[in-house]
Amino acid sequence: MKRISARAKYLVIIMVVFLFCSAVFAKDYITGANQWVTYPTNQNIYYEGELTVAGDIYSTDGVRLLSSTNQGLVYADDATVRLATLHNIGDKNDAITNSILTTKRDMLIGYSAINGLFEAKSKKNTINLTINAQLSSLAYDALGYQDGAIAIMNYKTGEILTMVSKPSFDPNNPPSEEASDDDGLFINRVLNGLYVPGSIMKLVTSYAALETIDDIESQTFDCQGGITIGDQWIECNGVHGHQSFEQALANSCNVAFGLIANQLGNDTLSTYVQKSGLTSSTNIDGAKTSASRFNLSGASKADLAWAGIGQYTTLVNPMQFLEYVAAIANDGTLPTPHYIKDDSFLSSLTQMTKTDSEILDKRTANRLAELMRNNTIQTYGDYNFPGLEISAKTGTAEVEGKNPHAWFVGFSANEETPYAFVFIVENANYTGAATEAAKQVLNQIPNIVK
Amino acid sequence: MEITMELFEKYYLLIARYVFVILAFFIFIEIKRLILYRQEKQRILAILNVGNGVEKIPITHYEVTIGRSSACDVVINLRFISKQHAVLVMNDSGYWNLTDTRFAGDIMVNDVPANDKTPIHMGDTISLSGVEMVIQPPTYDNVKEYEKALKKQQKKLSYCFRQKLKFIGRRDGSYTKAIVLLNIFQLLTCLQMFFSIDASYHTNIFISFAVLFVIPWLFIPLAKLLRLENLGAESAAFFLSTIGFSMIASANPAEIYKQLLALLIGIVIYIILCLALQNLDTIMKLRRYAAFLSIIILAVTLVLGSNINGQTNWIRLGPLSLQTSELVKVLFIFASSATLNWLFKSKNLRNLIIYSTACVGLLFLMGDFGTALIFFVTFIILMFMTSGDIKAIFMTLLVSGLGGLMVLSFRPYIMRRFETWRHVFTHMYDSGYQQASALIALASGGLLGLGVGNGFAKNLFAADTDIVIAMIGEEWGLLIAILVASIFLVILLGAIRSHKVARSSYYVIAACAAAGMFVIQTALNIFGALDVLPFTGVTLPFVSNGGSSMMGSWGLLSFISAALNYATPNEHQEVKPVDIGGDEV
Repeated sequence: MKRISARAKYLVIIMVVFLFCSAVFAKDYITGANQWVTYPTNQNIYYEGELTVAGDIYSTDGVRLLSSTNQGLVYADDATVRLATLHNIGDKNDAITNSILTTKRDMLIGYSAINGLFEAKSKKNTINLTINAQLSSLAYDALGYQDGAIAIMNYKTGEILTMVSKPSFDPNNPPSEEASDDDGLFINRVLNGLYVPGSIMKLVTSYAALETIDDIESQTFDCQGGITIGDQWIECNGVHGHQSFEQALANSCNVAFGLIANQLGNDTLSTYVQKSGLTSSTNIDGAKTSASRFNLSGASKADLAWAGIGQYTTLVNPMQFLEYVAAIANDGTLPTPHYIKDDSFLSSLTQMTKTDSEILDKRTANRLAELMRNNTIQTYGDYNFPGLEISAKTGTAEVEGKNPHAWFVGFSANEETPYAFVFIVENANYTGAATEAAKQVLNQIPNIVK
Repeated sequence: MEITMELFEKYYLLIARYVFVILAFFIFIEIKRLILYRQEKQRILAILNVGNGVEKIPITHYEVTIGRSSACDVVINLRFISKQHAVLVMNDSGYWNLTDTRFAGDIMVNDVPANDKTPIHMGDTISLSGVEMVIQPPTYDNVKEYEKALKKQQKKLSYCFRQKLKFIGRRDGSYTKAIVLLNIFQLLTCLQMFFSIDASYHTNIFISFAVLFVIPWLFIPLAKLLRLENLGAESAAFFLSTIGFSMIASANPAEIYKQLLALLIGIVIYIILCLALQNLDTIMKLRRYAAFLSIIILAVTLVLGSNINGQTNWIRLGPLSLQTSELVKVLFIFASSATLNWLFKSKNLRNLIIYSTACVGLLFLMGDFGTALIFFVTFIILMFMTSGDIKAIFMTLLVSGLGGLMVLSFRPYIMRRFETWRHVFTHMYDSGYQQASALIALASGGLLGLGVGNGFAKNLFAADTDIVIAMIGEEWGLLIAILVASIFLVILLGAIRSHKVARSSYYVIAACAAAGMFVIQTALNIFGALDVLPFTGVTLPFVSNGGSSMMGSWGLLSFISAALNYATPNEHQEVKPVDIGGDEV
């Protein structure tokens, strides 16, 4: 029996192998379980690939943007609202990334390691957004036949009221699989679009100039309709003659800003673009913005001049630029941008400890705000925006072979309407197209947003 | 009234899912105690007085080997004695028999040449190659000497380690307690199924559960009849069956009667086997026929069997279809286990290996990859347990590994499983669908489950058989799924530990092979479904929906029960053994 006893003990090896397999599975489970449950074949929470447990998503003005039922997803009743908020909510096939349906899937499903989907299946959750459905529809319509992007944010609180990306589609009639993504149908242009900035970049050049060139406000710039910098002719949009820095910005004078960029130099301008926050991606409730691109390494004097007036190789993301403008409006600091209302006690605690990120020095921010206010009064016409005290900057971004994109960025200095905005009209028929769209939307804000 | 019912339904599961886990845990603890508890007592059955008092060697087992080698139970360090000379066995009538393992024919009892049937009484003189020894009853002196030897042993490090290991079986469990807890578990399960499963199936389900409720109690008188004291393995089977039945109720409620019938037939097979296993002499005679029968069954299946899911392992008997390999499992272990005196004849071992190889080979021919693998591992276990020949086993593994690769290259559908293995989510809409869904379902259940009848895995193909673990994970929760898997490990540990008390090597080998088979099958089922191992599609013993599997599992269980219970020969011995405390020397 001694021999048999000794041999029997070797069978513990089988148990060890079994436990080893268990350990492999434990590793798989711990790292993967929360992803496994989100697969659309999980009939606990999906019906034919559509979530059944996501609950309801409401806009801040009480419009039901999405409702998930046992038969799948139901979108807003109004067609324009569906189109205007599609990129915020997401589509049924998850083709639109960076939407609530993709970035907040875990929260919508409500999976927990202990209870699994038990609570998810029995509870119905509601998500309230800071998005205003009426304002979004208005913005969508304001783009007319043109594609583009519009975003409006409360610069005191960071709440995003509108994030419209066009072209859009009706989620109830999604385009066929073959529909090409050439025109970026599935991209939220506000969060992930990259555009040539054009003249709005002069706001960043001005920032650098105000901080680093002591006598910038007392300099005068002579514009004769263009200038040769380095080996290139920089064409201006007019003949502005002798002008101060303030006038140069109001005139959006390429000559003046080409010269200022060269006074700053490659390094200084690059540093301030970085300081403005444009080149680092931000996370907005789980959605990541695409970082703007700015690169001056190996740039010549002419290149530097072009960069200073927003051409060269620079590409800017609308949301990042909106954040920069919101910081200017809010004395240099930017409250965390968000579009999901979180009223829970826990989040109010974390909110209290969270500090707003300081982007600009308060004095510089206020001076830039004054300059932008002057732009409206001098050039864009304050009468276009009665009572809103708009401070802004336009931009025209040259696009090869097509009409240029029109920009209009800025904010309302009125305490009653603390909103910063960015309007982009792609391949606009005329230079003021973005300003015109802004006029239609911004003037309605006091009526819509209560 | 209806409103209170509705409210009750709404909140019942909220609380019950915690109660289920707690109950299952306590049932598990009780089963674990029952199976692993051992009285750490060593008995001296007789004394071998070598050379008239030169050496007095205690005999502590009913089967002992005598020889010069230190691996023998009785070591006689004299030149005339072979390394492995003879085997001393107590037969069912309480007399000792001596078997010569070398065929030299120079064994004498009371100066008369003896064969392995010659009874040896207390006081008889045995002569091995001229070395004389007297078999004596254990006396007080000898016990004292034995204890002295024990004390010497206690100073060794290995002894301390073994003492530490004792905590595993330090407390005895109570069968009644386990069954009462199981009954509560069953009642609460019925209530849950009442709410969640379609009312048209309620009668079938509740009648089946009523039978499951009563059977454990019927085992108390039955155990007296079968001379079983330890019903640990049986209580494990009842718990596993309860889980299995609830899964069938959820996935295939129409088949629950079929499974119930299989359970009852399984218990009959179990009773017959237990009766046979009480008598070692009978088993040793029947083994030959079991071996022939199993080969015939396999051969007949291969020729006449019907092909289901690419495997020719089903036989149709009128309305019934039988997966014969499940029954061959029982015969295979029945025929391949052996007593020591049989084992140490070299010719026997050779026949055993030829037989086992034939069984495994036939299964491979059938294309039942999963079952062949289970048989193969069991074959390795049996070979190791009977021969202890590591070299031969290594060679077998090497040769069969190469052979297996050849078989794989001829069977593309098996190769496809290997391609899917560890990448189920990239193949989740084709070849990996079942496993991917299994993982999704298991994760959906969390630790506590969604409640019986509330998952989606029940709609999948083979939900209550091949991927039943996913269903358990989803509806019962991960914790209960872990308990289910752990029970098989406990059974294996119990089988391994049975060597301490088992009467014959037959019981130890059979129990280890059966428990090993359970664990291998569990591993292939669970880890195959969960993508840790390639998917083979074997059943989970006692749990999976399948009549043949249920019957086979009960058959295998009898081997484990025999090892845990049949520790002494049938008849009264001439002299009572002396119990002493402490461990074996």
